[in-house]
Amino acid sequence: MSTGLEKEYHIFIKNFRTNYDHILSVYLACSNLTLCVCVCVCVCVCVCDSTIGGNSYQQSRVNQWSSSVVEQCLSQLSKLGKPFKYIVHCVIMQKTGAGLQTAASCFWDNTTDGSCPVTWENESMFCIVTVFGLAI
Amino acid sequence: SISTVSGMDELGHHDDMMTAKTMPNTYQLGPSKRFPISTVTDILKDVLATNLQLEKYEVEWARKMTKTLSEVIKAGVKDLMIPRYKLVVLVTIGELAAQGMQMNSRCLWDANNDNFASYSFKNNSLFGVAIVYGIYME
Repeated sequence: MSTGLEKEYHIFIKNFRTNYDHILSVYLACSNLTLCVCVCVCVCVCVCDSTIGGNSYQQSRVNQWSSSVVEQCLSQLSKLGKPFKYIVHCVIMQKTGAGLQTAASCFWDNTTDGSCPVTWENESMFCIVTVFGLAI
Repeated sequence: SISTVSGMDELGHHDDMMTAKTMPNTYQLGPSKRFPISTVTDILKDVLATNLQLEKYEVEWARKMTKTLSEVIKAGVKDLMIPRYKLVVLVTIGELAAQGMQMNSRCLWDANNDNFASYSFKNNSLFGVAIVYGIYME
């Protein structure tokens, strides 16, 4: 990765919660896969923050949360207008000390396709969002 | 004159590379064989049931098992020889500890050609979920 891109990458990580528009503009200007993955992470975290936030786990609302997380991630990603097919997978689990382990294995073109797993949590639940982007 | 010769050599070599990479046009507009959901589901059922039936959840074991299972499933589906399909295999193993959980996924893709298969398995100490997405590559 060139130093210029590396700098942008760090700016991202620093600002992604506060400066969403900046992230989008950088993303639209670049075609680097690592940066795309980074933006996916930012999008997922932003979406989780806004939909779930500080709510505690409620059986009746989890269905609604998980579908809106998935839907919003997808709509934000599709707005970026990159030539990708997306798979967004979301798991919301209550924190009771139970273990959970996920693995993915893919058969695809490593140079154009990528995945990004994001774990987000608050006091009462974990939310794990995985985005797969496959170039058309 | 020496430099000219070396230049020509390089050019010839380059041409060889180009012809080796060029593929004839297939004029194919759709998949010759669609993603076989029921066959893939059978593979998932078989792999999950045989590997998780008698197990108890342990962190280190689960870490290894998810990786192994995803590789096994990918190999199994690749053996079906479905041309032009990219595969994404997602395996989750979790402990049953009276917790609530919701799993959800949504895709932005071509609904005519792309598809998925999923299967979930449960015994009295753990659950396992496996999903395979097949994405048609043009």
